[in-house]
Amino acid sequence: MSQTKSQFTIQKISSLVNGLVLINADANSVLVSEIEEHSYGFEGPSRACVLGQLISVEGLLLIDGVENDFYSTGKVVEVVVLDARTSKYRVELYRHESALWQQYLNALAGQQVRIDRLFSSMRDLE
Amino acid sequence: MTERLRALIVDNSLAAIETMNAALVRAGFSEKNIFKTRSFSEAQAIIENQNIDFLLLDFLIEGRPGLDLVQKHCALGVAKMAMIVTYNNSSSAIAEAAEELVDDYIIKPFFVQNLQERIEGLLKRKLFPPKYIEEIRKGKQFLLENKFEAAQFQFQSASFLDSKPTLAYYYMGQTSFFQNEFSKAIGDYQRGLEFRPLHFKCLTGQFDSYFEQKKFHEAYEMVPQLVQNYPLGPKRLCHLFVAAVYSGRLDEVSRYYDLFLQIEHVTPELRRVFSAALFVAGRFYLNRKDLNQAVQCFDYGLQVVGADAHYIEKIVRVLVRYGAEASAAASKFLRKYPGDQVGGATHSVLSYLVSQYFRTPQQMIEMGRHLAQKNYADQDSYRLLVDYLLKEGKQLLAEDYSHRASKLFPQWADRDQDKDLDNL
Repeated sequence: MSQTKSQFTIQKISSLVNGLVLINADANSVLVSEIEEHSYGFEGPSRACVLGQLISVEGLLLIDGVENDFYSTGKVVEVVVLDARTSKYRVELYRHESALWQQYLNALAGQQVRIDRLFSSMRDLE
Repeated sequence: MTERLRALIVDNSLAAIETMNAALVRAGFSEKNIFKTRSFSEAQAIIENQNIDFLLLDFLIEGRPGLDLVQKHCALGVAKMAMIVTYNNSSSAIAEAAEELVDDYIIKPFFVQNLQERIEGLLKRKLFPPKYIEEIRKGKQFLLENKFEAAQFQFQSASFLDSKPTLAYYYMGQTSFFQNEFSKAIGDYQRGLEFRPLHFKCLTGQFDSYFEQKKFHEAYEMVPQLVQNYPLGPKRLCHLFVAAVYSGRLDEVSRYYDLFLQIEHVTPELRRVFSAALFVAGRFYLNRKDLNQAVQCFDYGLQVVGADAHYIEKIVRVLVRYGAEASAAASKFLRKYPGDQVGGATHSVLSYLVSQYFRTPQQMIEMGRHLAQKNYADQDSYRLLVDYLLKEGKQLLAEDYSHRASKLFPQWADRDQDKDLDNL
């Protein structure tokens, strides 16, 4: 009954225009915390990216426990300053391997369905 | 209506807090009624003082279990709402959450739209429940206030409102359980199971009732049904191990090692209980002269508890009583002794005890005298030394050491070795 994980980890973000590295997460990888059909959100260092910036992202998609390299380009469509050190960024996907992305979205949805099934079998909806 | 409700978001990530805050606002919460924190203790204070209705939190907050906050929150009223949003998708975490009063469990990364829908769904479910659930909730409120008769009546009334009133019977069982009327409780749980044979709460309620009555055999009989159908959290696993030991199913204890490995949030109590159960199981196998199984149990026990000097001491002391082969196994365990304590009094004594099958009597006498001289020797090593001296015909020395031992250890003369071991 153990569950396999599906996650998106960002390893490096560079400016698509000048190649400048904006976030290099080798030491502390950045976990994507929220997803939409064509975008994703994560917490990162403040002022790493600016609104409207075009970026290239190197990441890792963990799909049901299997690691897949995921290279993409995108645009920063939302920046929320959270405190002096951190901001929340939302990135809209541009060029990417859409089949892999779709597979990831399906795995995430499937993961939640499995958890819901297990959770509701143990816990009545009171 | 939602505008008046108060919410608390507890998460280690500010980004997650921001997104959840936005979702709550879209669901109708007023911004001024949403409290946010990354701190466990601050969350505790907010729950205690701010009459929070809706709790959104991660499974772990600053390394502490978020479920402790859920417990506090839900003890304050039956209409409280709690939702876990976490990266932790382990079955044991989900089981733990389901055993507490968590209403929903969302995995990160979440779909923003899905989070929104789940928040709204939970609000609807809690604010506008069907009549059956509403009656049960009234009963639960009586239960919270220890008004057992009123609660029982309420649950009975609720049982007529649904074609499969398992939940109503479960709470009737709980009402009896809280009054220590365990047989009655079991009857109610069984009625509930007639409608839904694998109802988790009724099964665990029945297990707990047997457990509380110390009917470990009956409790353990329920284990296969539970284990085959549901993941178990650390608390319940503890009870399972205790039931296995006290019902004499020692040969089954080590089978649960895999279940233990699946637990992500291993509590100190679970380590303590499972390692103790494995130790007892190991002794059981030694008594049956099955050294391999015994060593396997001890080995698992040591992995459960970590390189713990006291646990290794127990293993070594028991193994050395079972001959040369068992002592060889004991010396392997002794090699796992924490490095910073090697050469200390206990380690020296254990090395001495283990050596008895591999050294000459003369060497054992030398070593024993050396231990006594350094004041390291305990009763077991004195006993061993005296035995060797007697075997070698050194009567006077044996009497001398025996005399010293009797002064150091008042119970030297009437010592029961097995009792000593049990006291470890």
